[in-house]
Amino acid sequence: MNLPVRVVKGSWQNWLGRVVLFGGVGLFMFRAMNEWSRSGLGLLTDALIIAIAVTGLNLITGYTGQLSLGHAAFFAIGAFTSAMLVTGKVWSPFFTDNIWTPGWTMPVAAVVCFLIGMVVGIPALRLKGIYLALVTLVFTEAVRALFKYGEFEGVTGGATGIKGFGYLPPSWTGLDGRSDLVKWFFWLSLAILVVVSILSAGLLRSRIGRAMVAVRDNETAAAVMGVNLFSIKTLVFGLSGAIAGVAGSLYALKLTLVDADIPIFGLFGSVTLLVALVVGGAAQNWGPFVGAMFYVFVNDFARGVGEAPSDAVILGWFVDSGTKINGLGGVTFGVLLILFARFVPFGAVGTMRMWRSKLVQVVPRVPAVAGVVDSRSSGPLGEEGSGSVDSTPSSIGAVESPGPIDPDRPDSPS
Amino acid sequence: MSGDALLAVTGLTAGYGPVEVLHGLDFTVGEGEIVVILGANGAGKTTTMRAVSGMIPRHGTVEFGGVDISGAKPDAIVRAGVSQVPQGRGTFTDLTVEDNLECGGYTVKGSIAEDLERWYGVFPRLAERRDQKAGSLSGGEQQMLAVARAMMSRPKLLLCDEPSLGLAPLITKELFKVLGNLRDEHGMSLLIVEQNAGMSLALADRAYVLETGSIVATGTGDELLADDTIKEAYLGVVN
Ligand SMILES: Nc1ncnc2c1ncn2[C@@H]1O[C@H](COP(=O)(O)OP(=O)(O)OP(=O)(O)O)[C@@H](O)[C@H]1O
Ligand SMILES: [Mg+2]
Repeated sequence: MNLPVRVVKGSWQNWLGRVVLFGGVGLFMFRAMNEWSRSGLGLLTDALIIAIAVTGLNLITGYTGQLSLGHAAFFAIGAFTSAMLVTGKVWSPFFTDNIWTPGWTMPVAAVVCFLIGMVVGIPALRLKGIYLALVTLVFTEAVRALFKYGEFEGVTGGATGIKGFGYLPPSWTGLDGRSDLVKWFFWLSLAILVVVSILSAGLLRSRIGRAMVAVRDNETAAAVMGVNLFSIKTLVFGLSGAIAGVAGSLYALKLTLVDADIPIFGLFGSVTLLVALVVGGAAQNWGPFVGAMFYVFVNDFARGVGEAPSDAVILGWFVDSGTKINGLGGVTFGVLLILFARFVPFGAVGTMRMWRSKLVQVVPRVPAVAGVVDSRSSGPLGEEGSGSVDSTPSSIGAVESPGPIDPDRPDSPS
Repeated sequence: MSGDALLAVTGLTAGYGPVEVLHGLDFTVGEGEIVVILGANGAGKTTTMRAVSGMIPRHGTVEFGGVDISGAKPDAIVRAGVSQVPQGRGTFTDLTVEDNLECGGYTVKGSIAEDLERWYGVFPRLAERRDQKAGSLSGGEQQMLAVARAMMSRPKLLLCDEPSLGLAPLITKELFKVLGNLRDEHGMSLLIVEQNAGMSLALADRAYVLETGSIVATGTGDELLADDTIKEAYLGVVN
């Protein structure tokens, strides 16, 4: 059998591959829930929540090409929206009692972040690359400062934040209020991640999704095709922010408190999301999930190294046994990231696809156009064919085999 | 002439920030006509295209089909029926050939399946490569893709910015044949800006010569081809 094996898109083999992939991940999740410790499952839930936020970031940064360092702000706004609503700190019209159950604060967080995201998208019309990153960074810090601002203490909790709320599993879940709390958040996060991923995949397959990639590839050409840059950028910034906001809301309900000084609500959070996106694979459908898992678990591992480094053999030569070295965890994580960037250049998912395409290529069904027989011998265009400089694919986007057949469209779900 | 022209441009000035690049251009494109604007590097050809398609701020009047589109936004101008093949082709390299074409039909309401088949019929090589990433096409194929993509918005007028750029003479010939066919068989009007005087003037019904933002000569394609100054400046023929 010759490698790579060609599998026709939409054939039963193609579907089998998908079933194995989704089944494998599903099985992993199921076993994790039943067998992992509470702290392990809690960590996995954190990874899922980050994956939701990164899925949002992927829309604007991965697919539309607008670099955002503002997504921690949406995360924070989502978190504070939920906290303020469930604790009754904001005025609810027409009701004296607080009508907000924790679950219903999530869609509110999404709507609030959508509207704010549209406004944040406006600078993206004129600013590109690092300049846009700078403006969104300022946005992140401004939002954080606003939540800390003393005058708003009655609403946002000011410097001390808001405590004393949570989200107990509803009775229909059959989960026990307190002892199953970890499981409840795990399932809730997983369910939201699945829904958000499906919606995002649907968006990418639509006309708007193509316009997004067109804007990233060539803004001028997209504009002359009639793509309204203003609408696309503000819309996608809004959607992207809304998704990050839902993640923030989930994060706050799980943590049972919000505080503007929590690092993930600031620049650190924005960088975390961006790192997870790049590590997992920007503009890859599985990128946010893999990147978030990598980020959370490798970070946790690195922190472990920081705990008692001198038990390690080589470090033990330099420091006494049992000494803690502050910051070593961070350094370890940093070194791992650098190694990752060096050896896994297109993100984990991009690299896995590259390897996979050496074994299996998904090829499109043969187009049914009459009268087309041999492509190499038809007219002068054929002669130019493969020899021309222009025939090499662009290096950044071309993570997959540069062969004549593209194994996958960027948005295909396998 | 300008009364029944499809595109009528009068006193068009445009530029970038404080710099004025176009100093009041007047030109027209009639229904079913191929008009070429000939100009050297930096003459303002691309700027003219951008000004007509609404990509940059402009002064003067641009009338299309009798309607003033001087103040219209790019997407409104596309919807009105003006489509553009940008300089350097503007391929969406990460999208497939088919997705590129579908982007071209972005402004069309309703199904574009028939348009796809129609242009695949005109460009069979694109049909063979419909699921391939557009960035992996050859330069000539990408230029064909750019033309087909522009046609997907069902335009009445096609703007082509230096379509021959970077193409071998044989491919350029093929391409210009296709552009001629668009006029003859599909009833299109075309405005082409070019440096390649020989081939473009042979194709043109009428032509203008643009020098540093002003039109300095005009005539039919054949008249300009026969003109000595043109021969000298654009064809390298010294008398
Ligand atoms: N984005 C821009 N900002 C500022 N000046 C510009 C910009 N684009 C073009 N120019 C200037 O406008 C003038 C005309 O440029 P234009 O691109 O229209 O020329 P052109 O005729 O298309 O040339 P070429 O054949 O090289 O494409 C040049 O002097 C150029 O430097
Ligand atoms: Mg130009």
